[in-house]
Amino acid sequence: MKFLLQRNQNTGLRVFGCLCYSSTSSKNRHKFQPRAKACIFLGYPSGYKGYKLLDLETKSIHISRNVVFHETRFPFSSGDSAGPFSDIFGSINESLIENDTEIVDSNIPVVVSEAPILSEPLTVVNDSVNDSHEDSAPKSVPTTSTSRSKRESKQPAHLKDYFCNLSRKGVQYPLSDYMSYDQLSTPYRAYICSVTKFSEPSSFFQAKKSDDWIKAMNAELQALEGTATWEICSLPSNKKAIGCKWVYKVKLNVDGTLERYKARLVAKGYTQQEGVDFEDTFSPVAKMTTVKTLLAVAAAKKWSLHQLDISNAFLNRDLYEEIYMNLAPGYTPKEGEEIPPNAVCKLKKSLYGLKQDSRQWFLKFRSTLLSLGFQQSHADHTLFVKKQQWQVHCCSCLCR
Amino acid sequence: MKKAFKLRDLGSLQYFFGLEVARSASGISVCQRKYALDILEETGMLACKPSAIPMEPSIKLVGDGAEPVINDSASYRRLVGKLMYLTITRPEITYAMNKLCQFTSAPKGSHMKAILKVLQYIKGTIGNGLFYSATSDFVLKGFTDADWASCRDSRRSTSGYCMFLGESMISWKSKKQQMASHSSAESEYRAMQYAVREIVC
Repeated sequence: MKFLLQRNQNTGLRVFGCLCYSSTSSKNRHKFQPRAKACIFLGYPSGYKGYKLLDLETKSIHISRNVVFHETRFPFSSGDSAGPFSDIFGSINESLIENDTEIVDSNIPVVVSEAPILSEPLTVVNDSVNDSHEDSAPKSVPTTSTSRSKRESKQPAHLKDYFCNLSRKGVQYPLSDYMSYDQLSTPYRAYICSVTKFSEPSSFFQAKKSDDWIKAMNAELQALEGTATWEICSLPSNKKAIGCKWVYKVKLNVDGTLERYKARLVAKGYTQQEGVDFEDTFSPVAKMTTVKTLLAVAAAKKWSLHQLDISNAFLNRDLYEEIYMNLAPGYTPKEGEEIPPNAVCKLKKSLYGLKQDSRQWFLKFRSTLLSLGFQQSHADHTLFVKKQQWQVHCCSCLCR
Repeated sequence: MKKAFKLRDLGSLQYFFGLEVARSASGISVCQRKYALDILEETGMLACKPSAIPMEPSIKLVGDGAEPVINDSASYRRLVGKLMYLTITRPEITYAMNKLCQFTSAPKGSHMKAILKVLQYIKGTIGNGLFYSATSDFVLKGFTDADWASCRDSRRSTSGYCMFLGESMISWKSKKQQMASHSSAESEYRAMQYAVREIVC
């Protein structure tokens, strides 16, 4: 017996007299009829590929190939010829008439879900059942009943170590049915997972709960104070202060690992009033014709071409207008300092988000270049030329 | 300048705003190969059949016709905008883009077909761009041309010009004239006026 138990998973050998379920023919079967019948395994018929079975209900012998074996259960071993299983079937037949939802509680649906893969060896059946559970979590398959089971569906035990947001409780169309990372390649999936792992808070109140973000905001505040971006004063009565907010961003490396948390203070430029907080916002950009002419001349005269990038371009310029901004959320004064009543920041330098910051940037760029001896072209105001004894410097402001 | 700003020297000019600049002893070449590839990839036209011409010469595009407006007119507009940026290094699609951008308010199926033809042309000529020769002189030359009443909707003419500094092409434009011309001579005059305005200003 033991030998057979070990062998039967690879060969067709089964334990004699064990309980098995042979699937019924789908031809003349309607949806409320059982998909499988409880049988006893009798042996191997000669000349057929299949199993000889004794039907427990009708006591008839037939041959079937689509069979699921339960080789540890023997209905005849206790001497009770009918076995406990005939009772189950009997109760089902009664309950069919009364309330068809109770079918789910019985053993039948288990057999139903395994029925299509019966011809495969038992181990494979088990694996594929596990797989399908992992893929689609606790999916109840009430194929035989028209309404859902009243039984509370539990998460499978093998998923208890994982956080599954696949819960279907009360969700008619869960997102997991429509979106999944299954299609992605493994490295890309890992990247996406790490991208979604770090969440970016959308407001200061969310961010102040995390130490990482508080650290990032402190760094930004120190940087702004280091460049003397503002001074704290109380708001004059005839002025209005504009708002400001924090923008949070998680910077990731190329491989998806965390680089740093970045917080940036931006002014709410849309609350600025024209004529009060700003006047002109225009800033010129290099014309493409100028760039091409420069390239053509550079090619013919064999000049060298260089590209420069000015970091923190938008924080470098001075402000001419008198702009008051509310204190940054979370701003606390240093020890010994006191915040005056109705305190605001009077901006001395431009912040991100202000209406005039690209213009301020160009003005600063222009004045710097002019002080270095460059001359501004009249045809294109973004072209600056400086002639020295042997060399000509041309500078063009390309971005804003 | 280093004193005034915190600078980052990116070395010799190679890539800025989607323009690839390559330099050799014979001159400088500028192209937007990567930008064009990105457009093709985004529109799913990477595997399309290349075409030798950006637009059928005999095509007559009209704005108001019986044809229904396409559902996805936003994608047409986006595509027009992207291809307009490509005209920085592509003088040859300037005319086609000038024609097609006149229909952005209500694009029809025929316009979409024409813009896909432009994409097919770009696929065939993906690495094309401008070349500035090192042996060029500095004589400014300008060429203009105009047709007469080519716009089917308003009967206005389309004019175009291109400017050369020696051998290097530095400026070009294709534009629907602002007024209807009575004769082809009048429309040619207008084209000349546009070109002279570009030279002087």
